Amino acid sequence: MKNPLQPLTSLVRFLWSITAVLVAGGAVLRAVYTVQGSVCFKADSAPSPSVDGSPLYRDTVTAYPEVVQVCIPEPTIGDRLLGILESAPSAFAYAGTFLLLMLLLEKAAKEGIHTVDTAQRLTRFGVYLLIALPVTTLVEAVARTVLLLDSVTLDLDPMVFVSEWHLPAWAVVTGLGMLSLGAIMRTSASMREELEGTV
Amino acid sequence: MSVQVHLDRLLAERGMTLTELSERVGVTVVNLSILKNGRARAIRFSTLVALCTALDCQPGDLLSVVPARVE
Repeated sequence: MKNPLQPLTSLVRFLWSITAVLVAGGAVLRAVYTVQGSVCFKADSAPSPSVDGSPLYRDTVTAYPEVVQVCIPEPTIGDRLLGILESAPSAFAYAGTFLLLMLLLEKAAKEGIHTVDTAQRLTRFGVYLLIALPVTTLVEAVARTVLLLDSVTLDLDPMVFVSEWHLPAWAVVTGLGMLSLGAIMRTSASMREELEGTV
Repeated sequence: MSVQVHLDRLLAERGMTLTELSERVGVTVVNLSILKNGRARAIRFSTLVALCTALDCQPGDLLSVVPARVE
């Protein structure tokens, strides 16, 4: 019988391979760059001078940069650590998402799609989506905010981390969906087992 | 609490084999084995009626509820 989980399994396996290579390579490059060079980060809340009167724009136009890249040329060890924390965690979380999804699909293809075990794995995947991505993006936002507060001369409200937090709404919605789907599947898989055991 | 199936005893008392019973009630030997070994999760009324007719017994002779075993 044709595997109904294809071509999704192959696609996720491919995405996992690409993400794993990119994350591993990116983490090494980022670590080397952060340890040796300056610490740079992009912050939505970084104050920026308006470019009013810039020759790049016509006389009546005023441009306000929304994202500013801030670089600390001589960072402390703490700055370097925050520089890594500012971008690495979510990359690992995304790689983990693809890994978990791939394992879920492969085990479902091997052991059966409509089983209590698959339903439990689906629930675990939902919990991971609900926790891992929001938490890692929150850690990144806090690290970015601490770096920003250390870099500016004016008093910024520490609560600016809220605007730095790019909460992945899709992960929350999908995570909740997976929890519901897992609960529905667990019930129907139990019913199926009962039916199969009926003489 | 669990349900015990006394198919073994009833078959022995009537000198009947599982294959013979299977032919009489129209239930596969595999399914009757599942029932006999206590691995069935449920039994249809139609199967129960067919078994009781073939074995000339009442449902209470075939099934009993016993307290769950403590491991």
